[in-house]
Amino acid sequence: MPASRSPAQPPTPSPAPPPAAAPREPGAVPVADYADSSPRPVPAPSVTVSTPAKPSAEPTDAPRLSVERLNAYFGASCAVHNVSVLLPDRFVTAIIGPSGCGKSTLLRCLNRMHETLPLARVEGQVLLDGQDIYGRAVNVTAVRQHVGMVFQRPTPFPTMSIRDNVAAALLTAGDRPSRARTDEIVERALRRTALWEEVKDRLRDSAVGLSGGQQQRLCIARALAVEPEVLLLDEPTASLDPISTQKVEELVYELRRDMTVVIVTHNMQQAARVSDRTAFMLAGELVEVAPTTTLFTTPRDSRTEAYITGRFG
Amino acid sequence: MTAPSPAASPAPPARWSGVYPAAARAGKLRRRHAVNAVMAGLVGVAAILATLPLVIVLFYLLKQGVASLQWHFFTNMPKPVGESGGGMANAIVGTLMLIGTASVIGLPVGIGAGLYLAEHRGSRLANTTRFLADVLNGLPSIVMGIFAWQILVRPVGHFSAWAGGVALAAMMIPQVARTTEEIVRTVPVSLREAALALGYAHWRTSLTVVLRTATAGVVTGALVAIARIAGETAPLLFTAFGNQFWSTSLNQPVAALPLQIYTYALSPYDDWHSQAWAGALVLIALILIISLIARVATRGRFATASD
Repeated sequence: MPASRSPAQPPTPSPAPPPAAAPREPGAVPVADYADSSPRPVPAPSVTVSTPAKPSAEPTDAPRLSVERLNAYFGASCAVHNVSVLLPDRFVTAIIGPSGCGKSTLLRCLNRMHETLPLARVEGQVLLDGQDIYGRAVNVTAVRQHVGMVFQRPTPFPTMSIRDNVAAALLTAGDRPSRARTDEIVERALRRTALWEEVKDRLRDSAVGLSGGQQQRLCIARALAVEPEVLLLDEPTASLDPISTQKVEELVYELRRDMTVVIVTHNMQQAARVSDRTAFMLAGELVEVAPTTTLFTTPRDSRTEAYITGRFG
Repeated sequence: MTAPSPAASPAPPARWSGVYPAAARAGKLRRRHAVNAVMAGLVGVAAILATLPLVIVLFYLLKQGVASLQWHFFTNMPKPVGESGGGMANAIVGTLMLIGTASVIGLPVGIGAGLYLAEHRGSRLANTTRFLADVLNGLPSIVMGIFAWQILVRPVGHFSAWAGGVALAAMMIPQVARTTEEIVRTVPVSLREAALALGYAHWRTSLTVVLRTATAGVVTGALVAIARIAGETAPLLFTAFGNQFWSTSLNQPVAALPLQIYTYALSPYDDWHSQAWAGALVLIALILIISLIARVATRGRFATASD
C-alpha cells in the first residue's frame, strides 16, 4: 500500500481489495490500491429509472463521510455555521440551496480545499471512515487523493495531452505505475466516463481541443483515475449544454455503485433526478437533510418548502 | 410610428426627425467616419514610427558592417593597427561566456523569485521584494559596474569573467522576476485549484502546472533580459575588463563584443571602425539566434494559458 497516499493513522489494513460488487460490511475499509493488477469488474448497466434506485434510503451504520459541527470562515464572516451531516457510502447526496448559502464552501471543506483560500479557516470535524481529516498529523495531499473533486468549469491542463491529463494524479504518489499500467488506468477511467470511444484515437492530442462536455467528463475521469473513496462535484453541469448534462448525470448515477458521491447543484430538478438523499442549506445553515423523494414531496421545514416551491431562490 | 416615406430608404423612427433633420444626420455620419479614419491613420503612423528606429539601425548596421563581415572576422584575434585581417573571435566567445554565466545564476533566481511573488502576493516579503526589484530595474548600469568592482574585483585583485557574469546576473534578476510574476499571474486560479484537488503538493502545482502553462511568457521575459545584458557595456568595464588575447577561463579578464565595439569605435582607425560596425551586427545577430533557439526549444505542442 503506497504509504504516501494514506493519512497518518491508516485504517484497518485489509490485505486484498474486495471486488467492487460485493456488499461492504460496516467498518471494513478497503483503501483503493491502484497498483492492484486485477481489473475491477465493470457492473452491468442498470435500467435507467426516473426516480433514484433507493427511494427509502437511510444512512448505513458506517457513513463514509461524517461532518460534525463544521464551521467555515472567510476572515471574520462565517460561511458555514455549525453543520453536522452524515454522507453515507454508495449514496449520491445532493446539496441544494440558494446562491451564497454556503453549499460550495461546505463541499470544499470536505477535501480541505477551503483552506487554500486566503484568510480561510475551518473549525469542527470531518470524519472520513472514522478519522478526522482535519486532525493534527494528517497529510493534506493524501486526503485529497481519497476525496476527489470536480469543479464547475472544466479545467483540463492545457499543456498536457488527454492521456497525460487523466494520468495527472497518478504521478504524485510514491510509486508511479509503469507506462502500460498507466495506459490501463487511463482507459478504464475514460470508459467509466463514456469518453473512451470518442477520444481513443487522439489520446496524444491536446485536451483543450475537446468540447465543454467532453472536457468536464475528462476532469471527472482525471478525478476517478486514482479511485477515490468519495467524489465531490461542485455544480458540474452548470456550464454545459443539455446533452452533456444528461451524460454527466448518467455518469454520476452509475458512480454510486463504487463510491460516495456528493453533488452541489442549484438545479433542483437535477437533484431530484440524480440523488438518493438531499440536503438543503440556507444562509450557511443546514436546514434539512432527507431522502430525496421525501424532501421534495413532504419537507419537514417550512423554509425547505418555500425554496422548493420556488418562493425564493 | 408613422409609415416610412417612400423617398427615404432606411427611414429612422419618426420621433427622431424633429431632432436631427435628414441632411444633418447624414452629415454627422460622414463626420464620424472621417474622424474614425483620421484616428486609425494616426495610430498606424505611430506604429510605423515605433518600428522605424529599429529598421534604420539594422539597415545602417548592414550597410556599414557587412563589408568587414568576412570569415576571418569570426576566427581571428584582434590584430595590431595596420595589419589587416583582424577579427573578434575572442569577443564573440567572451560574450557567450558572459551571457551563459549570467543566465545560469540569474535565470533560476529570477524565475524562482517571480514565482514566489506571484504565489504569495500579499505577504510582506513579497511586497518588499517587488518594490526593491522595481527600484533595481532602474539602477544605472555604471553604478552596478563600480559596485561589482568593489565587491568582486578588488578583494580578488584582478578582473575576471565570473565577476562580469555576476554583475550581469544582478541586473537580470529583477527584470526576470517581475516579468515572470506578471506572466504567472495570468494562469487562472481554477487551474491551480484543479491540481491541488488532485492531491498535488503546493510546490508540485507551482512547478508542473503553473510554470508549464506559463512557459512561453517566462521564456519571453528571459529572452528580453538576456538581450538587455548582452549589450551592457558599463558593468563589464570594471569587471570583465576586456582582453586582447584568447581566453576561456572564468578567472581571467575576458573580451566582450560591447567592450570591443567601444574600444574600436573610439579609435582613430578606419579599419577598426568598420570592424566595430561588424561587431555590432554580430551582436544583434547573436541575440536573434539565441532567441530563435530558445523559442524553438521551448515550443510546447499545445496551447498555453494565454492562447
